[in-house]
Amino acid sequence: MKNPSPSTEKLQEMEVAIAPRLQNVPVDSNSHGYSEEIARAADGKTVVGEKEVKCSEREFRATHDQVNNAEENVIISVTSRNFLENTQERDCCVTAGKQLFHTAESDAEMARRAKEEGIVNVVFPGTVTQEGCCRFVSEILKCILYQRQQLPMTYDQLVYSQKKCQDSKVDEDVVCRRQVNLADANRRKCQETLQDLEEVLHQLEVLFCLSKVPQVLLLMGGSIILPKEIYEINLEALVLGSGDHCLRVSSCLRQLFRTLFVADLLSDSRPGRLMPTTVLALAHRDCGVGWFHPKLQFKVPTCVKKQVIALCTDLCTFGNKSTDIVDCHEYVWFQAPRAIKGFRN
Amino acid sequence: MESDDMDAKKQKTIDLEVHVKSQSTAKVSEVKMHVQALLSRHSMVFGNYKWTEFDETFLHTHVESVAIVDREEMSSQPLDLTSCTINFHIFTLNEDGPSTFSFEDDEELSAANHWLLPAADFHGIWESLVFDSGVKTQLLDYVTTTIYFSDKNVDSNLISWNRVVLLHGPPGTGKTSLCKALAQKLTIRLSSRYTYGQFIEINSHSLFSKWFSESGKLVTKMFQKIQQLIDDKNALVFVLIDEVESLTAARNACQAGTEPSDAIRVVNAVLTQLDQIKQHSNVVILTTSNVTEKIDLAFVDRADIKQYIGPPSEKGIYNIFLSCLEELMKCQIIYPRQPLFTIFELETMGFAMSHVSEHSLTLRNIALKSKGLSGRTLRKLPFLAHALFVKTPSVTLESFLKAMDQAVDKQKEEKANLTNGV
Repeated sequence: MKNPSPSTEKLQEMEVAIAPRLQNVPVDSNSHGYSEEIARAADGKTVVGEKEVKCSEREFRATHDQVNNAEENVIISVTSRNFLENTQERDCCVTAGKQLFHTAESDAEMARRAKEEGIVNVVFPGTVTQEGCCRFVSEILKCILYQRQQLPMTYDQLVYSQKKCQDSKVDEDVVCRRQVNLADANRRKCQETLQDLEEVLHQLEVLFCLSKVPQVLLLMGGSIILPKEIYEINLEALVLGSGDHCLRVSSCLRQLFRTLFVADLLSDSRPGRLMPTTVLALAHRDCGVGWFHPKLQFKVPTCVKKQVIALCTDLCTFGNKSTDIVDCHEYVWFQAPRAIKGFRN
Repeated sequence: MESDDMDAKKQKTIDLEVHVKSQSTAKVSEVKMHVQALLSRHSMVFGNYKWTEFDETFLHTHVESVAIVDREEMSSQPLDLTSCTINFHIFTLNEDGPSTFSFEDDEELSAANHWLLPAADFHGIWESLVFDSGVKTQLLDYVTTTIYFSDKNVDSNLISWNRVVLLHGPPGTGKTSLCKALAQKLTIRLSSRYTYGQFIEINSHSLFSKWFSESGKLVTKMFQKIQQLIDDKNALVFVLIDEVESLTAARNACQAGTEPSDAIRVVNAVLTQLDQIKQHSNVVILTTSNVTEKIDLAFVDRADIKQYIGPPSEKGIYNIFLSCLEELMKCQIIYPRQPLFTIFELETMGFAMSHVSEHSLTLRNIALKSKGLSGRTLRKLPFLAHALFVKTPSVTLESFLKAMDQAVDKQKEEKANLTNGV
């Protein structure tokens, strides 16, 4: 285990990266679904053609890898749990499928809006739970950090390699000092970043338990007054529900990321520089959250163009349940006390 | 309109600073209501007064301190708050440290430090600075007038005023600190008009590029960034150029042929850019310098207030020592606690020797002796006294004063050695 061959190592890493996704994805439709989506996405791109909505290589590879590996992994690790989930999920997928088909026609339109206005709308065909909202936000956060090159690997891969490092640390003591020092510095940086990120994710969960959160902002680089990049996750138009009537989080996530990739919002030709990422969330004044610092004076910076990911519930099907209108005086911004610093290998 | 203003002036106005805890989410109006209730319960105060402990639960959970500030030291009459108009300044501190902003192409070098005001870093500087003859109030009034003029849309072609303040004087007298404190204070004072303040400290050395002809562009880039901040009309922007002579001395050197012509472009670019941004009403440019003679005339001319900040007088020194000793007694390094008189109280007593004023008089003698030392050295003295001559964890006031006396001797000796050496 001291020095595993690179190929197996990589394979293991990928397995881990894919594993959590696999739980969310029905096995048989999985591989086909994804390749179809990509093909469709590609179609969309040829239609737009002149406008050059091009999927960045990194992103495309990411999706592509997932597809390929998913296929491999399906053969290797179809566990009974996955199977169970599949059968449960199939009913939900019918509605989600319809939705997908519906949006396919407007893919090109969506990509254009993302490019020109910086807005991506994700319309869910039903209600979602509050925990679901939290999952969406944390997955988007992880994804943005990876796509904007603040993390060298995806979050799941990082967690796995981190764990592996700790396991193998025991019998590594003998290895030459200098090498260890270099690797140690790297590992420590990785550990710090992960700890910061995990802390933020955990505290976001706490916040979502305490209050409705209509908006989350990710500010990258610079200061909170003058950041380099702004990402807004808008949850205002989501209709919240509870129990069995809600959509499965996994299917929503799939739809969300499909939309994001097709819209090509997160990729950018700009080289990603390491910069701190600050998370801000709009929450109720009296929610009593302790970890986040209230920023009563904060205003969303207007000098930088922001990218908006707007999640909403399809109001045609849920017209009777209108979303609660948020009283803007009662909701204030809360800032995470520590920024997430990215790192590179 | 004018008579209204006059009437307002006749009635005393009091500035009341309410420091709200940074964890608090209470509405400003609610805080104000509760503070008003507090004031109605304690309507008589002497001089400057600060509440830090509250019986009421709301104030206890949300408010750090309520302070009546910056009144004339001399007024010893009790003040009836009900007869005054009270200006409420309610603020929270921003606890994030400075962020840097840098140019697009090289991330390594930061061109400026940037604070969001009121900043926790700058808290308490204003109180710690001791100057003579109301330097602080003058500066405060000056900037307030500047902003008042801009608000009233006074034609700047007829009455000319720039938004540039130049503080000069020997090193260690607190010029840079004063700039920071002034910015902090103004942000708090004008909080009803500007929601927050920005403080930008320019590293002037970072404006010189290694590429010929690039330096001027760097300056332009930097000011473009600042312009972005200024565009937000809710923000009051302070730009601090520390040690401004490093920028502006270059032009003279250039005439002597010792400086490349690129340096002259930097100075020109800075001057024109300053002219550009000072047209905006929400900007104040603060500069400091050690050597006034060397500064470019064109720059000195642009500064409205050229305030000399000299080494502190003996009164100032006494106040500095007093605040140091108070702090040490608070931390129980000097124990037991013994009362010390303020210089004002000593004066009214006519410096009469008695067993209650004994320590205060000793301190005054030390203050007299340490005249000529810079403010920075003075603030350092209690530390040096403890390190060199006390060496025990807790000490009485008497022996600490002795140690301070020795420390002053040592400082003077060191200073003499240095000047002899040169």
